[in-house]
Amino acid sequence: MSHRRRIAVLITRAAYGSNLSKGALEATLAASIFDQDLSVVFTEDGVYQLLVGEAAETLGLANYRVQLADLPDYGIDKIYIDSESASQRGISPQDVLSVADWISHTQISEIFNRSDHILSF
Amino acid sequence: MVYGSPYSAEASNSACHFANAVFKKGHRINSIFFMHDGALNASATVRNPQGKSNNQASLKAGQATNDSPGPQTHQSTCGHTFPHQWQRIRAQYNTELLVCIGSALRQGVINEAERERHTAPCATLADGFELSGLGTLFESVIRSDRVITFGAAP
Repeated sequence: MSHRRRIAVLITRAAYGSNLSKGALEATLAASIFDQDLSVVFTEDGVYQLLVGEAAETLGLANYRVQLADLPDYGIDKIYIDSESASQRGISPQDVLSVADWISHTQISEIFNRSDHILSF
Repeated sequence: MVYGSPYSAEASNSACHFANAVFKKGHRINSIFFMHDGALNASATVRNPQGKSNNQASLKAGQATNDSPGPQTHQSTCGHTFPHQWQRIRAQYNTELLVCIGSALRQGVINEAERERHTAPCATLADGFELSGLGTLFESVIRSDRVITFGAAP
């Protein structure tokens, strides 16, 4: 296999509303197997995925929040939340999983600039 | 990567135009990965009712019913027909047509093996497409210079 790639996974959708959000998580986990340099960025409605205290089970859906919290166990430790998207939606640091670092749009641009690939979900 | 279903979203048309332009410039496309609603691009039974079809041609010829429609030559308003355009790309440029198996199952796009496994009445995966996992997607991402995403409608 060729050299290690820098891949940014961009998550733009809320959980459960679209199956693409679960696809994003599955793709991220699949990518971790290939030992690539991964960054995961939650932006736009994607920031809702990191909210704690939601209960998908009450809608008969499998809760995959647990897997999000476990991303560092899969070697994925560059997890970011777009602070501007979050504040636009009234989300504060205490509302979300602590696995994500809060970053600005400028920092997100820097991540994109140094990535070989951006996968957008 | 294509996330939109043919005819009801823009993604397939845009992706097809883009792929043709890429080939014209002499580049190579290793694979096209269909995910989410994009899995419907791999359905052998997708048709665009507004397009021209053999069925309409035979109606014109005075046949009220058509028991054996023969080879389909459906055409969308922009000239793209699916899944045929993808099959043409595969035949001409040897580009892999990969369909996310999870998305495919949800959209009822299954091959013979999945049909048996899920006891479904019929297989619907078009020729030239392969059901594959996200691991295969990443193998393709890693060996490519560029990944282009044609997203789903918001």
